[in-house]
Amino acid sequence: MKKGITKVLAAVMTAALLVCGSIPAMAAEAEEVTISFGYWGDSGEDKAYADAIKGIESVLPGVTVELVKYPSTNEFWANLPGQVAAGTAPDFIAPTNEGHMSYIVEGLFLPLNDYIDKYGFDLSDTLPNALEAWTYQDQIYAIPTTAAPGIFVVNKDMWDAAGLGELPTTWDEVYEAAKVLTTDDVAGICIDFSQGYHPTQYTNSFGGGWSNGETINSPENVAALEYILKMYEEGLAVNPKDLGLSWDGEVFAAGKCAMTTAGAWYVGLMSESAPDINYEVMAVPGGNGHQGSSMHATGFAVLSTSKNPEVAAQVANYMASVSAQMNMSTRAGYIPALESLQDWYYDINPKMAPSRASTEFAVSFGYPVQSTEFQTDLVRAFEEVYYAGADTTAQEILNTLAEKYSN
Amino acid sequence: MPRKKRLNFDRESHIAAALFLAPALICIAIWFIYPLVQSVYISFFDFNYLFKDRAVFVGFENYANMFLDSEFYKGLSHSILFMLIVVPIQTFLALLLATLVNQKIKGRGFFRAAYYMPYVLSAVAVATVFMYFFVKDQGVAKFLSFFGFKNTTWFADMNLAMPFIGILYIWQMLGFYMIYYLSGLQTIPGEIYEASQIDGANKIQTFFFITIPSLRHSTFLVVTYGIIQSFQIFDQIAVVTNSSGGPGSPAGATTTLLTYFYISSFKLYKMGYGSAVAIVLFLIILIVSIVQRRLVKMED
Repeated sequence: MKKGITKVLAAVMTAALLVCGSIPAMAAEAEEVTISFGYWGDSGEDKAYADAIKGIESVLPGVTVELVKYPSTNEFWANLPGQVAAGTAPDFIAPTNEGHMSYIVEGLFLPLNDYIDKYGFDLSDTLPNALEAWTYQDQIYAIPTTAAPGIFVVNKDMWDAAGLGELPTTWDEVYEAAKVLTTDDVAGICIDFSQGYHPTQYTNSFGGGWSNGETINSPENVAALEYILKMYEEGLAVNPKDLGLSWDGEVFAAGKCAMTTAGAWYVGLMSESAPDINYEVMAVPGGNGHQGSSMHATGFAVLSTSKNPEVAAQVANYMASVSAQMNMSTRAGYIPALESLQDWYYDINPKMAPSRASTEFAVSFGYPVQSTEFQTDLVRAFEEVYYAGADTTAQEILNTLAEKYSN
Repeated sequence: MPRKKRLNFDRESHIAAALFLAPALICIAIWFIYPLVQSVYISFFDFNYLFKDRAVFVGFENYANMFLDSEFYKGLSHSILFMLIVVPIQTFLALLLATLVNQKIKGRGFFRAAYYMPYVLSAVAVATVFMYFFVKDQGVAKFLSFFGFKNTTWFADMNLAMPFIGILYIWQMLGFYMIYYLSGLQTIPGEIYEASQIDGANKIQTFFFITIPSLRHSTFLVVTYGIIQSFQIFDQIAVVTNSSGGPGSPAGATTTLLTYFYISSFKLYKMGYGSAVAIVLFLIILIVSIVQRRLVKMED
């Protein structure tokens, strides 16, 4: 009897051990993972991202996505060091390709090629220049979700009232038009020189570009900067700061300038802030026989501090789907990064249609690795000339920058 | 008192004192001493906060680079100039306002609240509203153009950007310093004024020979705190310049030691270099405070 009880007990204990031993394995299978996604944007983006994570449980069982919204890009980057130190940084974020190079080179953004290969992420439909914007040394550092080439906008009523005829296609024509359009209250053109975005439209369209710091003082870039300085010197251009405004869109929407380089976000801005202004969108004018602009591409980048980078990459890929990009475009006005959605986008946004050609020739910003510092120095050099009256030439400005930032 | 009992009493009072002081000391240690030590430590490293494990010890290189950087001297000179101009003006105006609202006038409570109100408002909100008034052809900018000032956007002008920040700063801080003086005025015994009246002193003599000397401790506080605060001005500059060229814009006209520290540390992520700037700022404030304290003690 005793032996029987002993055997039963042994069997029970063995079974219990087996069950207990298998618990961690079962738990691992059903392990819940929370992936945090950091972003900044308007209410349209809130809704689009909330929609984009719907149904993720069915594709990635046990995965929950937490949306972490930051008030602005600046707030995000200002908070990030503290969050990295505290281990609370998001797993992946949605930066643009304007200041991304330093984060790529420093290793903050993870290369995604291994995950792309392993899980078969299909990026074949992504616009080549949007993908190129996020590629460095053959490694892809983000899954592009938007692709907005630089564009040019003209206040059509002002243009027509001045009897100027056809819209400009070259910077020379813009210069001549600006002379006619400039009045006491209105500048012919707004050249927002508070950051690198707008000057880069000029350098790229003059056939130049920064080329990651390799061609900072190229003749094309010098010609572009000379053109900008000439516009200011002759009183044809205005910087938003001069009017107490923070960016070019505010200047254009306030009717304080007749033309400006711009981006796809102008459509939403103008319909909300200045629905009465009649304006035309077009490709950035060409300079010296060239054409060009920048490709502004948002992408989902996985941070190297993520505890679950592999899962984060899969979530990013899920959120970059065709339907998610269409939804984002509808809700927030962004141009999708997918080739197959271009016709659809320009059909539902006929205002943007004249600028479609920009998508063909837009290239990434190409700032040097120290992109923030470079833009700060570029803006500072311009302000030294325009506000402080320094007699530095465009060539000297770019030579100085080239000396500091050329690789 | 027996010796043993006295010893026990001393020990108990020491323990009580330690317990009462402990919360404050712990807070000071956590929020002041630890960050200070950490800043000094970081200032000897090439330190990027995003990648702390890659920090490289560079000795005094950050300090050497800082003392060779013209931007540092620009920030330093702007900070000192700002302090030298703003502190006397705000001290004088705070005393004037406190004296006025200390009189028995109708609506005294309202005026006291109204003058203090700007201090409790958000610096961001105040700066945003002020910016609107100092734009070319708008409100104050246009009004001041009748008195010989340039009709321009003040914060986009090399010569007027810092005065604009000064006006904004003084307007917001005045009420705070007025309260210091007001409390000081209310501690001056009325008998002294009565005695001076009997001796034939007029109001101006009373103000200069009784009120001002009696307020020397308030003045010490106002001036010391004013100097420290003026060296630490940041919010207003950040709001005015952040979206249009960044702190220091236009062309460095609004660069101060603190904006320079901010750009180095949080925009360019050069935390080691930024910490070196912060240590210099700390030493300046420390030296000014010690000198002032000595002067007041000597006077006492």
